[in-house]
Amino acid sequence: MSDVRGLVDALEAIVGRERCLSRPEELFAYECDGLTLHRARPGAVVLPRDTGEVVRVVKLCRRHGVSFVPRGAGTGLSGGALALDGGVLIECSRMDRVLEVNAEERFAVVQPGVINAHLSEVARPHGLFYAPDPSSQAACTIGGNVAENSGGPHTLKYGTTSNHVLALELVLPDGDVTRLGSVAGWDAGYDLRGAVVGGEGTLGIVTEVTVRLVPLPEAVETLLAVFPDVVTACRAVGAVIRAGLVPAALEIVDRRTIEAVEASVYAAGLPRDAGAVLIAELDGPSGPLPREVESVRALCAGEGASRVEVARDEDERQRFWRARKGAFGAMGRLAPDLYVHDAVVPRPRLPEVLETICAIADRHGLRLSNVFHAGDGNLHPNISFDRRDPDELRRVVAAGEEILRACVAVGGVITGEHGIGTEKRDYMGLLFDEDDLEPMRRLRATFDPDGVCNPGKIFPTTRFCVESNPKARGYDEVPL
Amino acid sequence: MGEVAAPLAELHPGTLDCVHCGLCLPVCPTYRETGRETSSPRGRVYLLRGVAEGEIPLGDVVAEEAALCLGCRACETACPSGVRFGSLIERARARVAEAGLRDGRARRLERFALRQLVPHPARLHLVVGLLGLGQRLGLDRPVLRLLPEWLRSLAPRVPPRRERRRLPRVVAARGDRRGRVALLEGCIMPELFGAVNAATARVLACNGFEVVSVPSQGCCGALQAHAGDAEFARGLLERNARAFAAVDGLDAIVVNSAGCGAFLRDAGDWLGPDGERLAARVRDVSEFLDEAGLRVPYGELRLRVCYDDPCHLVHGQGVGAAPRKLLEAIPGLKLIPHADPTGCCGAAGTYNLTQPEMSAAILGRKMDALQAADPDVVATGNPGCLMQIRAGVTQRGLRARVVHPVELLDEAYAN
Amino acid sequence: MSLDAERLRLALGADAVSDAAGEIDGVKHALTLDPASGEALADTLRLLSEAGAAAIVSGAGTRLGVGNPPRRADALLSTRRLDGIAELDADEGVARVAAGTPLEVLRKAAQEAGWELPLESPDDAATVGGTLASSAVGPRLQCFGPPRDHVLGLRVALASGERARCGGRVVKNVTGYDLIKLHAGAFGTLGVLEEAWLRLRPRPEERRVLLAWLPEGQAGLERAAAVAGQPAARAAVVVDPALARQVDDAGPCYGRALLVVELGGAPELVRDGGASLADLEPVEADAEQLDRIATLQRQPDGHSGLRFRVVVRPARIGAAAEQLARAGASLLVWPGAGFLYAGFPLYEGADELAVDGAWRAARGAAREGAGGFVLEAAPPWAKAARDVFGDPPEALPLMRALKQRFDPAGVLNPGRFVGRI
Repeated sequence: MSDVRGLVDALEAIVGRERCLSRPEELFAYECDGLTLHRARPGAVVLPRDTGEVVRVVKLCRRHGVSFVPRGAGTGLSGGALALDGGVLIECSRMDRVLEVNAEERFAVVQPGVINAHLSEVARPHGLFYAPDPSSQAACTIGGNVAENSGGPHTLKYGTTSNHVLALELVLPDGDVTRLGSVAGWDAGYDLRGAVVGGEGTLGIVTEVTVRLVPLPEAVETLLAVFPDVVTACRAVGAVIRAGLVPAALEIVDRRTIEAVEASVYAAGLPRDAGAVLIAELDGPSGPLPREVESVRALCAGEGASRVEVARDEDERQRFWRARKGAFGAMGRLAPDLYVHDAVVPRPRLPEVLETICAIADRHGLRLSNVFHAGDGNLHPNISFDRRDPDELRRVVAAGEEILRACVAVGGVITGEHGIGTEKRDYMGLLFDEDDLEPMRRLRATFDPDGVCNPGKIFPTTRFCVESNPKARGYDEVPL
Repeated sequence: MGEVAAPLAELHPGTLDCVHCGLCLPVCPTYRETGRETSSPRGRVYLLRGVAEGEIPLGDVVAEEAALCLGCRACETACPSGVRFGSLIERARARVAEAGLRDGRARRLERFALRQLVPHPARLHLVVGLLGLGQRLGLDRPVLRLLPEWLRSLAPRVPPRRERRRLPRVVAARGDRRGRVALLEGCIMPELFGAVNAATARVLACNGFEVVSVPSQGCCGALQAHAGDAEFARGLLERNARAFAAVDGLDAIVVNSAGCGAFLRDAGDWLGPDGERLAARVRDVSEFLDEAGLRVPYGELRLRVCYDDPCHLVHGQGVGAAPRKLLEAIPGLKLIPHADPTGCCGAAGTYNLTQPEMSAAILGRKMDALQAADPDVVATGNPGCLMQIRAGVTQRGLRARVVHPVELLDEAYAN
Repeated sequence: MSLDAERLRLALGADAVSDAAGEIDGVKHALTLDPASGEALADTLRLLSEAGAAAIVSGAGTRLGVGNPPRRADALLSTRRLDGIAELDADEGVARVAAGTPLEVLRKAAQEAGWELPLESPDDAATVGGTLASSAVGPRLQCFGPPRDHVLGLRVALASGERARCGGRVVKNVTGYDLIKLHAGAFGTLGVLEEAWLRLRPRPEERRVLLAWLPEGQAGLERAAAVAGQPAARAAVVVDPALARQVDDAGPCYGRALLVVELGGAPELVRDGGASLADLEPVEADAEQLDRIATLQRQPDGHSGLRFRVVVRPARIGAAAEQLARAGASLLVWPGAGFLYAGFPLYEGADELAVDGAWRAARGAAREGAGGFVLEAAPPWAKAARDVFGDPPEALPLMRALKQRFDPAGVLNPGRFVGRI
């Protein structure tokens, strides 16, 4: 357990009193991120403004054997930004400047606190945008995206964060600063840049990111297709992919989601008895687009869509997307807490897994709906619940574990976007045994031999595979 | 052990709506300025929840953050879960005041002004009149020099006496009569923005609506509620509810001050069914004219105008398109965009007086955007915003006029 | 530190151990080891590690010459027998292959299943493992990018004999660290690739190859860069006049640079791509021309000359090409990707001075282009004096530390990698 109390004065000397928080209520506000199930209060929170301040904070912490944890906007859904061991939270939101936009060479240099959507806004006048678009993009930061290797609906065509990070400046856990990667790419040596992306903030603190910008597509077409059930919708997606098309996004929402959305303020005018709705977005040069739209329409109709609409203008396009984006809010209003799960299965196995997931939810008496990136098999089952009801909480956790097991059983993995963080540490054993984890431990130890940078994340807390042991998952606040 | 409810227990259910997603953070002016979770809507809701669940005390931090919140409700617009943030913060402030947590001299002065001065038309008229006299005699200059910079630029010029008159009982409709409305005259409006009230009545009349002045209507209570003086605010609301309930045959209660309009529309929360009846009749003047169908003015105004959304109009009442449509209908008038029009200007009622640094920082961003756009006119539909942005324009030496949209319509009709 | 061949035969089987000796960059090894399975590979490594021996890892051996001379070598460890496509999901476009599978075998299988393999190497006999480990690329490098981008999962045999998996079989995965990025391009120094899950690409609807002669100098490169920017451009390669004959032996020879273009995708885009070079009066060709580019990507081979692979920021390619040409290089240039292959002939009696001139030119071009370079092929005496991977990366200390944790005894390719790791 880190003892931070003695450090507060020294931390204030580095970042100033305004940007060092240490009062109990202030620390309370930082005890969780977007996943309220896991909570841990930091010993102090600092908001550095630049790399120099980060270096000094890290060195100070290390000198005193105190751990530290980087945090962006705290929108993560795996409990990654928690100071599990009561250390210092390094909140990067003040490092929010876009340092450079090079339109000719199509890259930008940003500080980690730059908001994802803001970067695209800044790039837009240059005819460019930043492609990875997690659903939280209006609030999440590039630094957080780098830590989790974030995805989003447009990952299907454009790739994940890792495909868009050219270079990083990293403050290592011993306080040294190093640069990884380069604008030109193809760097000699181990791709440490690639290892830090998705490193969940455990290998150091990213203080500058050089990202690739992508030309805005010449044209965008969005379709909404209504199917009698999820199986036919998934079959249509399979047909589209086998036809060699690469849509920018293929999103499906299931019947339960449609019911929730249509009953809420986000109602998008979908038929309430629809079994599943597919939102397909195609973008690119305008030449081939009409033909591709026709192909998708025909393929959907061929697989049994009861109706297929093509958005005639931007308003209609936004309306189609509300069916998907409103899911979160609609489910959120059903109960005080919302658990947004994340898992991936091989795309052709989606229909059977979805059926299994609904059966699991029913068996545990839970309100669950499914929203998923159908094009790449990335599922997001959403469960509305009340965490103050210990029985419901227990059922939510049990159902979550069964869902992950079901996904792994068909060749899937336990997270596609949200990361392992605190949430899924003890499920790593579903995919990896000790031999598999050992190289990961070695990577971690290479960067952080003293174990001061974001300890307690990713690796299982118990040495045996998976135990239904709430304490091991940290649901109480016992530090591990 | 006796069942002693934790402080803020009654706020608890409201705090549970929050799923902690964080989408409110980037639109919150105080979070943008500080980067602190505690100064964000999500953080504030979590603090309130923490107090209600007994995890943290109702102490200085909670009191500070409740006061630092502007009440702009931009978070409500961004929130996917429907958290009623404005209401939560207001009630929290009331509890904070009751707990005696922010009881400095400034607070007591504020309470005095909001209870003893603002809701009393005769007293206010007198005091403002004296201020105006002092300004005309140049007595204000030595006094102003004593005041801090921000207060100096904020101090409005008191309009001449002829503009500080109440509206006549009835203003007759012009042309074909389309209906009958009452205008909420308010408290500050007649004294400092009497011209806007007069313009509002004329514009409504030009559009065929008879405008009546309702006796015993008065200060709506918004400022008092935002300051945490809940009981007093409720009293003012009740008075208005009774006053307007006594008048029938009204198509609407038209309000030209966004802050007042938003508060009246929340009357249901405060007064139950009576409040809901009142709220249902309230319309912002731009909304009302847009719904009724504006009679397009013949007169031309060749002006480049930036329309800036008052928080209590766009976030508090969901009215954003209507004022723009009305302005664009004026021949020759060009609406030009500026960055982040729905972002707060920092006025927030008495916020610019109680939180001067934060208010100035937030105003700074707004002025950066307006300066970059360089309009002839800035139009915004709320007295606090008008004062704040005028102060910003003066500080920056910009050439723009700052007016209420209804004043532009009035000018166009006059041409 | 001697490797007991008999003991190895007993443990692995006689067919896995042969006395085929050889040398890499002048460093001799006495044995060749050919494990037939992943388990056998792991056992081999365990035994090597216990014996304190060092192995040079090889797939088909097509790029064995790339890298620094090994510090020591007791055996050549080949993955040839780890051969075969275990699974090919034609529905999702995902394949699981053993690391010793030649690219050409997988390419054909993918094609038959209706997909395209986004991996290339200058020699199609190259194995999947070798291509991934050495970051090999071919003519379509602009389109396919680095090989690691197409890997979904790996099984790796580590230096001390454990086997570890990373990634998975699905196209989106953030479970734990992305170790794929470490192993791919590691030249076998962190572990030996056993098996890979790869993501295939949809086949282009239409394909077309065109040849055109470019105007001289920078104008030619700029023209080529414009073509490379076409949505349908899969390859746009500028071939040095000195090499053009080897690509287009039939056409006229103007002594100018030759542009080889492959367009692929929707017919409308291919048509537009073709139109973008219409004024250059292109000639239709076919995939054969790209194969010839691939051949050029492995020349010179180190005996007759030096071969550099240089990468720069695409906006700076003109300056890089010029600097290299002035130093006497024959160039292949990919303006769309900032890639250059620079070949320098080495004549009878060539010495350090000759190499030095070429080296400086490559390094200068790379530095000014804010990129890097690798001396892929050179005689052993030329390699001995320099780190073929060019300027040491800033994070080299971290890389050494990583190697130290994965292979403290230096079993795998010791000395061959960046900084002589």
